Amino acid sequence: MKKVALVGNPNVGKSVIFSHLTGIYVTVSNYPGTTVEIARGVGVIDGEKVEVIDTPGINSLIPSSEDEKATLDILEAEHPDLVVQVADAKNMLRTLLLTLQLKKMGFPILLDLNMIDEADQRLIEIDSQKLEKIIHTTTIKTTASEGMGITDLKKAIKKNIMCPVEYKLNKLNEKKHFQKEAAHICRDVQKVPKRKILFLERLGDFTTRPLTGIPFAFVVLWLLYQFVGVYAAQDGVGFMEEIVFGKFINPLAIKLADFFIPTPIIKEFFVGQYGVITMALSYAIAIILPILSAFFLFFAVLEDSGYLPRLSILLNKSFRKIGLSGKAVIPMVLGFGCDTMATMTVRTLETERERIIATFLLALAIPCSAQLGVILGMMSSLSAAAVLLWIGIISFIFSVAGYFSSKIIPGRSSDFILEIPPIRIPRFKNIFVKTFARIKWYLFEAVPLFIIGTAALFFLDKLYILNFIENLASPIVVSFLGLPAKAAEAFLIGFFRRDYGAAGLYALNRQGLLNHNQIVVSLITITLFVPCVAQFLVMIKERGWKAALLIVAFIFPFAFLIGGIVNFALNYFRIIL
Amino acid sequence: MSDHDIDEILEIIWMHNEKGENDLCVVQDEIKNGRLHDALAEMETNGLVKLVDGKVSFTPDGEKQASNLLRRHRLAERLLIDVLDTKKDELESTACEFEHILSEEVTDAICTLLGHPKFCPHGLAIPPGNCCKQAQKLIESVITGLDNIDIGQWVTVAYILAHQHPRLHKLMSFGIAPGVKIKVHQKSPSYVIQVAETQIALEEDIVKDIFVRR
Repeated sequence: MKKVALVGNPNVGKSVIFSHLTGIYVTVSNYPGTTVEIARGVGVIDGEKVEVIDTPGINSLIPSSEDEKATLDILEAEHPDLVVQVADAKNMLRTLLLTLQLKKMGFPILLDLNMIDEADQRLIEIDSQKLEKIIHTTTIKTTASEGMGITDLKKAIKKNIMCPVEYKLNKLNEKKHFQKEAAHICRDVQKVPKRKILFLERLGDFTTRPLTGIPFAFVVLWLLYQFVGVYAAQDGVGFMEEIVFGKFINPLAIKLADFFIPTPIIKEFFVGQYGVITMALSYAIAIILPILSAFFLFFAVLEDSGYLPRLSILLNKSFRKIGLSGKAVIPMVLGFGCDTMATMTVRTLETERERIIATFLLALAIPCSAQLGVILGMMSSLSAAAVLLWIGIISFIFSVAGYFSSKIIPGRSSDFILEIPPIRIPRFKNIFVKTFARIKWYLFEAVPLFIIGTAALFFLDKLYILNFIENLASPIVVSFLGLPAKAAEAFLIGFFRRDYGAAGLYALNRQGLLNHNQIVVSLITITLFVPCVAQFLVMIKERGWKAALLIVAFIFPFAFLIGGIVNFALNYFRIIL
Repeated sequence: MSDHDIDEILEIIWMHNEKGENDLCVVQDEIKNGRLHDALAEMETNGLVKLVDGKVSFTPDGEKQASNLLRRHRLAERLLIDVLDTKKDELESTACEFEHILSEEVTDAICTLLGHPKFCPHGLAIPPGNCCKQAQKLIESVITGLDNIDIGQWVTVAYILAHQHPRLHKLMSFGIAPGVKIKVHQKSPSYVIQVAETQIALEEDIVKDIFVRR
């Protein structure tokens, strides 16, 4: 089978092209560095079966970060029959720098000038026929997000791989940047007239100027809280829990179990106190799913609008104080979606020191969407002061932990140089496809863990070990944290996933077993609590055993310590929230 | 004794002065390494230095001559590093040759081209010339740091001071290179600059190292 690799600057639409060629959906967002893993797929291109490889974006074939190196390595190892350079048509200079490097290395290439619509909006004209003649490379124009030009692209790919050329790779001279040649060709093939500033550009500026950007960030947060914490966590969860599960699924399951399963213990396994349906599924589907879907939806809009990298501009200086740069803002914010995926994105940071600090902070102080949603849901019953206390303490821990780790962890920081993508109007289709893909991922990845966790609780309960553990943990949970003994169960299942632990607390709260002080203490503890199994595995894969174990060994006692301190302080000052 | 030797000695005295050292013996030692035993006495006769109480100091004439010499040498170093991208090991010998051949006009022209730099690549002060004093009066200099440019004004990159190669490389791969037109889009809380249709956020210390022509 012939092999085609998609290569290009970051955020030019390689993944969209990949989906068009293979029919496989990979996450598409509007910020550089969405793709950190190489994706492969087989597509039928103009009647011919072809293997397509999607690569993380690169600015240069002389790599300066891990993800850039990954792309170069894969190109060298795979030796594709054709390299399709996907390019941002409105940025011809950068495009051609890469084109010339690819050609110099000896790859057979095809140039796809993508996002022609955006070049058109900016009145930029490109003479692609002239360009073809100068660089001796087939050049196609596409607007992949709308499917324009894809047929031409497919035809051109087919034509180019029909008779593949044998080639050998040359090494690039590190000093040679092709700057002059690229600039020269640019002048020949493109016209860039003076133009008016577009509305979306003004909007982009609005979000990055401190005077307007900072209030705007708070408005975004408030909207997020309204949508996820209030709308989804109260109305959505209420509907799912009380009506769908409370009135239909659970009674039905219990009736069915009564009828079909004679053995009480097996029946309990499904519909008892720690039942797979009554606990695992109702936590996962009734409590977390509505919250999570709302969060994913909101988040997808943020991602696709191009807003997230703009936060880096506002936050770079603060992030410098914790040993990171504004570049780390994206992995951190992505952590609020899913810490596991964010831990992978940490790769885009340039030094190992920054990668360790970011991985540590994600594991410690960034609650993922599922957990955050449940937390927001629980907080909706609290006073504003209690909510601010939670936010304040978690932010304080984040800053202090970051500050000290930046002092302790050796190594250097990298320069803050980050590309800011244009503001784009998110496309409904991508938002829904992405949200749907993530929900599906959650159902397949998290729900089995919920079931395992519940099964563990069930057996521990039946073997009277659960009681024993609760007694054992009671000095910490009851005396130190001031929580009911049953809260130990929530922490126990929190080992599987923090959000599951949070859901356990949520259920306790709904049973009226927690007062406001206890809610705050338990939320602080579970927010800081150990990362979920999936995140831990990614930490091992990305940062190694030693770092991952050290991080978790620190976090576990630390979470309880902080919870205990807050409990003590609230009692000592007789504060009732 | 040749003019060349005198220049070398003036340089040695100047460098010692910079370190706050004017002991005759210390200076003499270094000169003797260059096998120029009676040179200092001869220079005193010529009215370039004064030797009093075991200390060596410049006469006004000698100071002027030494200052010009060091100015040429250090400006040459800047030019070689910043603009001509000369290798470190060739830097010293080439700069030494430059210091003897540059006329005052050419020196001032180089100084202006480089934006009247204050320090040589080793971090030592470059004695200011007439052109620097004039430039201070003229608020606008031909080449200036990107941080001095007003928001919204398009300027052309003249050169990038590269303390580290990776930084230069990264800027280049975003298309920021000599000859390219760029614009400061925003200055606070971080800088945002625009190159063609790309907006790039970066920090002040990187922006300061990008020198542009208005």
